[in-house]
Amino acid sequence: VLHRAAVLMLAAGLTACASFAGPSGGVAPSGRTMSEMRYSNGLPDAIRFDADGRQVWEYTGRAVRGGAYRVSFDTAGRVAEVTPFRTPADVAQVKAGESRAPDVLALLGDPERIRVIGDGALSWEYPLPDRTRLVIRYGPGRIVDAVRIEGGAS
Amino acid sequence: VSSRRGARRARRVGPSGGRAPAILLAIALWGLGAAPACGADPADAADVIRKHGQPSGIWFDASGREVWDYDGNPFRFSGLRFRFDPDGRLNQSEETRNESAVASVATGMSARVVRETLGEPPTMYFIRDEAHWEWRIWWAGRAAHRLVVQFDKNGVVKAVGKYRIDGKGLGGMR
Repeated sequence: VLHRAAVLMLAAGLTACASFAGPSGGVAPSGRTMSEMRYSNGLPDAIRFDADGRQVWEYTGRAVRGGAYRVSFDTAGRVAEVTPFRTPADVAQVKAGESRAPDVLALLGDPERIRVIGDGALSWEYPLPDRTRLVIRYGPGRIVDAVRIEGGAS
Repeated sequence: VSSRRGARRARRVGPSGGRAPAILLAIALWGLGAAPACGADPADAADVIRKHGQPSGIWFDASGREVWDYDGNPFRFSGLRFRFDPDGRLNQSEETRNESAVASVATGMSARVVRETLGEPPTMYFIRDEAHWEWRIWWAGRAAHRLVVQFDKNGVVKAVGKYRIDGKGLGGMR
């Protein structure tokens, strides 16, 4: 009986581990509570709110392998949706001469680093999964001036 | 004759002696104006980066102004917040978690308003599925306190507690 109980507990533990993984783990944790997300994936890197005031937690790769993703909660504090972001499709939507800082923030989240360029302009930098860096430079009016990929595996 | 010489010397010395302080004053004023990152208040986003480093969070307020929060250090008792105009000029700078901001947090408030008032919590934990956000603050005459904001399951503030951190430093967190 003890042996069977141990096997059942192990199986339950493995199921819990699998279902707490991020999108890269292949299991969407819909329906899980905020508390479960907090203790399985750690503190979010940013807490935001959607237009209806519901919490959206952003994880940007430090806590969970597999890239950045947003966890949207419903009004009862349960996971409603998990959405990867900072994807190639998101990066492609950042357009020089068109996109503004709020657009970039909505698409890519907080930059890992803000750099001051010589003339006082700013760039936002994001690490990409292939160890390159996405550099978004702003011009007057916080409109994106240039988008480029820099660096590589060293 | 000697008095005429004295008068001539006085005229010669007068203008050049007055020029030196004026030049020094001009240099001092130029120095104050030209070095905003060396002690004076920052004027724009680039100055803020030079002076304070990377913000811990960026968001846009209801009027569309870009807001940078500096509250990533869980051991600090206050945070900094800068708001910028669309052209990147500094519009407002303030200390977050000051006594008036802390006093404004009350039951019934939404998590969003708490987040906008105090910044992101460096500590978050759950008791019976109810979120507790925690900061360190100065309270009651700059005494070190823990501020704990408890939310109900719908994300509305249910209770606000301030707990004095004792001399041993951890305020009941051991």
